[in-house]
Amino acid sequence: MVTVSTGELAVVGMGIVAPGISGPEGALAPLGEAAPGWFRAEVALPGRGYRRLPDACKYLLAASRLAVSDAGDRFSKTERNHRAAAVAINNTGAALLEELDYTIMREGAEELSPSSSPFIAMSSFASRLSMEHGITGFNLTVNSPFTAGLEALRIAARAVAAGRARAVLVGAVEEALSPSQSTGPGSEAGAAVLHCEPAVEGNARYGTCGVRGAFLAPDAAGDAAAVLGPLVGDDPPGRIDAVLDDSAVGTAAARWLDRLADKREVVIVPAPAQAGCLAPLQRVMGLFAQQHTAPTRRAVLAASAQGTLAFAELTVVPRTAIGVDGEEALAV
Amino acid sequence: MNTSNGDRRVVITGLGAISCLGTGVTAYWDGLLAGGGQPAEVPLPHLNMRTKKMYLVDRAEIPAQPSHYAGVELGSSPRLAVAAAEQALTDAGLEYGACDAIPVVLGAELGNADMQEIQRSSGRTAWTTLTPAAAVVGAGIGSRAALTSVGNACSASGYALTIALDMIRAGEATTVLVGGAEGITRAGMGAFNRLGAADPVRCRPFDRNRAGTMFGDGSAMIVLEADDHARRRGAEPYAELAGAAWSCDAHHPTAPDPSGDQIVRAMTAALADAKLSSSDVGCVIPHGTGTPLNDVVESQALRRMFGERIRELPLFSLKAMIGHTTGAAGAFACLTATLMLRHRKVPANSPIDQDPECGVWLPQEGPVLLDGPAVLVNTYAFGGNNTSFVVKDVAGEGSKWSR
Repeated sequence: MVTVSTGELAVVGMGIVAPGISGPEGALAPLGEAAPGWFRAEVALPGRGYRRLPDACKYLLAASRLAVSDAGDRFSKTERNHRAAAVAINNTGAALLEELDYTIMREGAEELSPSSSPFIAMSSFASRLSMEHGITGFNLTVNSPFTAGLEALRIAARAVAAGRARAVLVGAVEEALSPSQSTGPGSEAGAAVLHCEPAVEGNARYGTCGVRGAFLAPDAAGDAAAVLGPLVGDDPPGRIDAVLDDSAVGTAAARWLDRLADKREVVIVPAPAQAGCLAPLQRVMGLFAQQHTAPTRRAVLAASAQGTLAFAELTVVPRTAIGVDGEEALAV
Repeated sequence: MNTSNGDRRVVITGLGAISCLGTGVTAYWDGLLAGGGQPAEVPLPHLNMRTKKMYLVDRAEIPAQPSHYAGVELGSSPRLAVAAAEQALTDAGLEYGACDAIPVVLGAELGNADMQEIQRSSGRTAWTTLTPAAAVVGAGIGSRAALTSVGNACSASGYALTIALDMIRAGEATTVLVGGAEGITRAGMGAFNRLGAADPVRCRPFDRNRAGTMFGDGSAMIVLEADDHARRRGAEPYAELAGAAWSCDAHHPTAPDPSGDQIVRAMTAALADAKLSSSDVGCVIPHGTGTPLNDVVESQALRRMFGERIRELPLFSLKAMIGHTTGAAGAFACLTATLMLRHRKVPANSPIDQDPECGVWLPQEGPVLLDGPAVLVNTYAFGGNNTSFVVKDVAGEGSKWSR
């Protein structure tokens, strides 16, 4: 009988590529606007074979390189069949999909770009990771609105426990909506990747995390306590970062969190209505990159307008500084 | 903290389907026995492409509700998913709307694309989520459990079934509603036309003249349940989801690895997970899309798996009957495998002029006896994202199939 804990993953490497964010230690800052030129592919991805990829694919590849590099050569030393990826997407292919569809409508399918057409399958954005890093264990794409990044962590933990992989690149990638698709400012662009492994003693370079999920239908938002109480648990961490929009579900979650505010630090991170799945995972990364002198519990809560809820509980290991290439300048 | 228990058995206790063969599982099985559906022109505007057909759900059978969810106007995919979910839960003896502890795991690729495309054609361009279906189903069934929406293109619901299996084995849930749902999509069809992967005639996997695949819409939903839980509440299982495995080619953005090594690995691992051998397999439902290379590579991989027995092991080419339902394909294959085990037969395949490079047996003269306790299913996708899973007979435990 195979009996493995399914609760947690160890985070051993991190990488982020996003406008206005210089690295994991800056990941608690809000994303900047994706102004033209914010991402320099020729610097992040030198070499051949990347030019015709959609930008979102490049963001993900670049972030994955940073995460793998941050962890040293652990990923390449993992046997290929035990390497895996779990990637979250929401609006990643939205602008490209619109462009392809307009081409069909106005000029016909024969005028579609052959290099862009495969990205009609939204998992194609993540699939390139497999070729880049020799991943033959599995490559999974999840797409729940807003919470998919945390959901990817949950699925990765379960898959590792089931023996389907020993090292997983857990990521989220988004691309800005087109001007005609966007109803307001704040659509995300960029990618965040966590290099995760089984949570065994001494393995957690940044810390460990486990994710739980729940569902609160918008028309049942009045029952938030019945759903959020069990999700957050009786002994929540000392700080909870909640990424919430102003939907019925987000508003109900914010109200419920108010009751914790006198005992816990609750940081509400406002999300725009068309937010993707990057911000919650970015928040996880930012909390892991903080410096502490003792093991410290943190949490990230995300709630979508559609009702999906995810709660990531982190234990951040003691560290005082992260040096060049992720080497600890001084570990406690 | 949960634990993963590979020995915990997971059974299928409810089935639901809506496809080009009709609404309901009986209509589905009867439709397979009758030879499957026929493609028809897709009812979308601005369909400027050579191949315009899909295997379509009768538009009169697509439920009108729910038409909206959380401010999103819904296309056919979420509504099909809700319809199939209600069937599956009712079939399992569970009350629709009162399933607060049941998670939903759904494979959905371009889920709400048809609504977006209709809006785009009429000048409405604001973006809304492509993948609301899992949440729509969750709200419909009254769930408060975590939802999972899987987007691995043509293997999405193969992955979804495995995730659901792992959830029950891990003790996270006793019952999971799992499946897939896809609607129609102009952009998806256009891209496949441009890639030369859209057959203008019909979906004809393993045919020497196959010219790509042809999509189908619909939804298949399955209630998976811990065996002990099902027995305690007196539910009679149809079959067992006995094992599943994943692999990835890491070879090419769209084409399969010609070596077939990773799809063989997935099949081998799925059987090992099910604690079965290749001799237990009475039928294979291949991924079999009709794209020239996929069918050859899969045929060769099946020969590696089954050796000379592949000449007498029936394959059932499902996509020839309902089209390639992409994100729902794995769920439809699981449904089909379950019905084969229940009826102890493999429906006759659609007639083809078989490609000699595809050295597999596709019985076409009439249904054949299912002579084995397990059906092996393959689902593959762009990027070489592979799943294989094994559906096993439960009634056979006291029968000639007992091992």
